[in-house]
Amino acid sequence: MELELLKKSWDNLSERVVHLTTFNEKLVDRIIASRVMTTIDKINRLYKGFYVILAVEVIMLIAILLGNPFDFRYHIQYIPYGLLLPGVIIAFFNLRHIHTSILKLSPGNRIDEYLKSIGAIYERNKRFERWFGSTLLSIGLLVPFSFLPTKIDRVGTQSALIDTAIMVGINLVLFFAAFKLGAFKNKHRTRLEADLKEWRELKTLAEKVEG
Amino acid sequence: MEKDLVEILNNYQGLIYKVCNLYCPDREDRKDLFQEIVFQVWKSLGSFQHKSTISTWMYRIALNTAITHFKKEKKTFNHHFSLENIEIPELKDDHEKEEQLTLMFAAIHDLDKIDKSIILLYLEERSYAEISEITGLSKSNVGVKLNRIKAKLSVTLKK
Repeated sequence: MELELLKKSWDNLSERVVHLTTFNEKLVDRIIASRVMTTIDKINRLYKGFYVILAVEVIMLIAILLGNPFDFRYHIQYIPYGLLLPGVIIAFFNLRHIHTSILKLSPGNRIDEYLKSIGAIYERNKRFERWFGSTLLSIGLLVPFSFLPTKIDRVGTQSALIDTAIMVGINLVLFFAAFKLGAFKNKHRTRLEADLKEWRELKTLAEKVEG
Repeated sequence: MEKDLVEILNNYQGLIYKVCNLYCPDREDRKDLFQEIVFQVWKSLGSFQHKSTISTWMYRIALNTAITHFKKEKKTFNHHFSLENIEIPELKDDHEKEEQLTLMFAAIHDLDKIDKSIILLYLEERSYAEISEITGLSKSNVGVKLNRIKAKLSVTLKK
């Protein structure tokens, strides 16, 4: 009895949905385009997250340089942070430049052109990304040396050097692991290229339908 | 050589709508799932070799998308391109029907995602052989599962 009710309800639903929408190429185009645009939205959200991270980094670096929370005694100890600060500021403005360039583009009815333009913006920033990655790696390796003078005073030269070498080693291993796990790969560019390829396939399909 | 996407969607839209209804209680989620199924159908169209019937192929894609892809990574879809023409139906014009549907979906809601696909195919009056082909389960397994699902649904609907 209960299952009969279930079947009856299902048949009611089936009757209702059998010819609900008239699909045409334009509508199908819109559905696929919407799906492609999801990637762009993801990039925008990611960039907003980057803004926050970089802003926090700038604040922390300024606080370290001005407030001396680690009780640095020598000017040389500030060098890694002094180098990192301009790097982060440049990264912030570069990010802003890329983001603004992307926001200025409008998909209109030419999603293929839109994706191509975004791809070109990414391509222009390829060199900068490498430079920024190398800077971060260098700074990551330099930061443990900031604490070397304090350690020498506290535990002696040999132990301080061993301790610093361990920290540098850990940093290197972390960077290597991140590199191997693909943290420095631009997944969004790959995704955009895949979307562009899919979009072109759709256009071929649409042309077939029209033909 | 092959049926085009537009024709397929016009012929099998009911199937997609029903899968969306069964797997997504939320209206916006239903639209997202619809979009994803259409996308997956489009992507798979080139590799369709007519070894199975087109309806079997469509069931497989729609259910597979609902079960795996859509659930695995909860996507937030973009709606820059208005999809106002796609409205997954909710029965509001007939109170009795609406009540029946609400009861039905409430009963099915508690089933796990594989059981949902089996009951959908059963309600669509597919044979055990077809259900087996679509879900990849053996025929005997389909029979056993279906009996368990029916018993579970009977209990839920009696409450």
